[in-house]
Amino acid sequence: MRRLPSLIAGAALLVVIRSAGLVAGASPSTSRAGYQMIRNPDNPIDAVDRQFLEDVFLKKRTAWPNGAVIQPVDLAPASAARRQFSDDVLRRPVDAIRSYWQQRIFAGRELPPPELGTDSDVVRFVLRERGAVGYVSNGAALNGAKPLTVK
Amino acid sequence: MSLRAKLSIIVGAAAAGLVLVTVLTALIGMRETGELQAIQGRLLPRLALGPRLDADFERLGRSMQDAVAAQDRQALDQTRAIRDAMFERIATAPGAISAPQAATIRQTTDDYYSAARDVSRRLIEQETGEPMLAAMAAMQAKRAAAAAALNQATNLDYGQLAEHFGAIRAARAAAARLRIAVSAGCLALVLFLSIKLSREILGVVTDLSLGFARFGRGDFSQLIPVTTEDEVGKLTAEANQMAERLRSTLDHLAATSAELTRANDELQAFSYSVAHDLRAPLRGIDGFSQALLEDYSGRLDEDGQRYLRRVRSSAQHMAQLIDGLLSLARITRGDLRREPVDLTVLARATAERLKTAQPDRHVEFSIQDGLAAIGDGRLLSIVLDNLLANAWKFTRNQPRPLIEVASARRDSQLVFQVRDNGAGFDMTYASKLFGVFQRLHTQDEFEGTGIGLATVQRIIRRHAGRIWAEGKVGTGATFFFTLDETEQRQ
Repeated sequence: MRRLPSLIAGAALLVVIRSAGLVAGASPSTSRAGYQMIRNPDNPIDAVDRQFLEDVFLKKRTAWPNGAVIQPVDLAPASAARRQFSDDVLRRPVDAIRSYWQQRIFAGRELPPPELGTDSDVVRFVLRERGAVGYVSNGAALNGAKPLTVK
Repeated sequence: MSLRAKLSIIVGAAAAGLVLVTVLTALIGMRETGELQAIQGRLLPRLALGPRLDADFERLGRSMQDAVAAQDRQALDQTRAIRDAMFERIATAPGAISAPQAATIRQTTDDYYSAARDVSRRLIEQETGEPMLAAMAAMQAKRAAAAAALNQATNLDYGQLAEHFGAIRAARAAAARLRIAVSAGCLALVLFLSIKLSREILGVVTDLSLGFARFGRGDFSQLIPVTTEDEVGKLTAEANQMAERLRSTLDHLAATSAELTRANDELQAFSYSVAHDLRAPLRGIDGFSQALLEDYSGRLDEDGQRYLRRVRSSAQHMAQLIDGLLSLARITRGDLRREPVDLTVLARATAERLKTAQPDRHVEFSIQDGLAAIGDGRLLSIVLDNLLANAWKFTRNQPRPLIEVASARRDSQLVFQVRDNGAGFDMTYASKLFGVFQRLHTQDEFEGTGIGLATVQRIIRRHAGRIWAEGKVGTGATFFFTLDETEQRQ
């Protein structure tokens, strides 16, 4: 019975997240301007749709269409690109996503993607891991990482 | 061994079997109880404790998550109470979880709690990066370890439950097998002992029965073998002692009887010769008295003649007495013949003789047809002669005299009877009727020697029969007699 209030709270939270996402999704063209999706240069897949990315960053999907393991990587919660990415792709604010992950962490479920402090950290991670997918602020140096188009 | 001891062994064997079955059943019942206690003492508390500990464990994680969400360090510190309550719950249910398992749960849960607190603190401090991720992964591994330990300790083990119930089932089956085996064994033992004892007793009783049959026939040549030392053996020994005493008594009786017979024979021979020798002088007295009366009546006055007549009368009476005594002696001395005798024919012949002797008397005779008997015809004729003559004599004063000869069954015995409606007699003196020279009437009332009924009784006794009389003064008398019953049946 003690579980019931937290379930109700979770459901309310989800409603908040959804409505926030819808608001954010109203202007995708402008919001996408703040970040750039990148991939490992060895990854042949150069375009995915938003849903694919949402599933990957919420770890509901763990493999590329060709079967390679996906390793998503986030920017720190405070970064503008992170907020933009969260609103556009995940359609939820960063806090909601963090709350989602905290729940998963303490329930012993999946772990969130690593949150790295700077764009260059993200680029290094993507270059290092073959199945990695991440995003950086627009204009950041890619150093050989390839862009990934969101259809 | 005594019969009582043998019977005690049989009863004891049955009782021992019963006790054994009871004890074994009780022992197996204790084993069942032990298994049930294990279920009740360990498995059932575990069943109750498991969900509570799971809930505690979940609450611990959620409380830390809530503290992180609220950025509340104090709330994070307070989560320790949940962990402590969980440990307390384990400590107060010692039967449910074994000590090593409890220690493992405490250890792994504590490890997890420390790691989770560390992660929570760092999350509150907004720490990010790959090291943070590694810390979270480590915490999750510890969480999984603690959950596994908890699960292992509280999970109701189907195998254990099945083992306990299997043990109960096996105990019950064993009890049933034991009961059947012990009962069957005891039954077989009791049956075996009973049959053995019955055969023993039957054998001894058969010997005893045959022995008694031999003794009954008067054969004491072989004693009953004493084969056992029990009560039946004692009985046999006593029977043998009794037989020996009986044999000694019978031998003694036979010797006495032989002596008596010899003395009796001598006495009879003596009385016969005395009676026989008395007849000649008596004839002399009667004859010379007659000669005196006939030849010297002129010289004797009336008194003298009367005295002489009295002498003659007495001498003739004495002659009759002597004849009677001789007849009695002859009856006793001669051999007894066994032949079919028609008593009807004999009785009718006697009646005719009586009628012919006194044609002036009118006596009605009622003689039953077919009065068949086995005996000595000559002697039975004397019996009927005497009894009918008596009846003839004692009905003399009866205006309508009646004499009946008949037979009847009394208590399955054939009884012949001669009845008259004559003078009768007083039953007080019935015992004197058959004595020699015993008379119930005076010579003046009814003449007689007092030998007739004594003769009749002796003949009946020689036929192994019995004679008795019933009567009433003035009403009549009935004489009953029986003959050897075994011969009458042939």
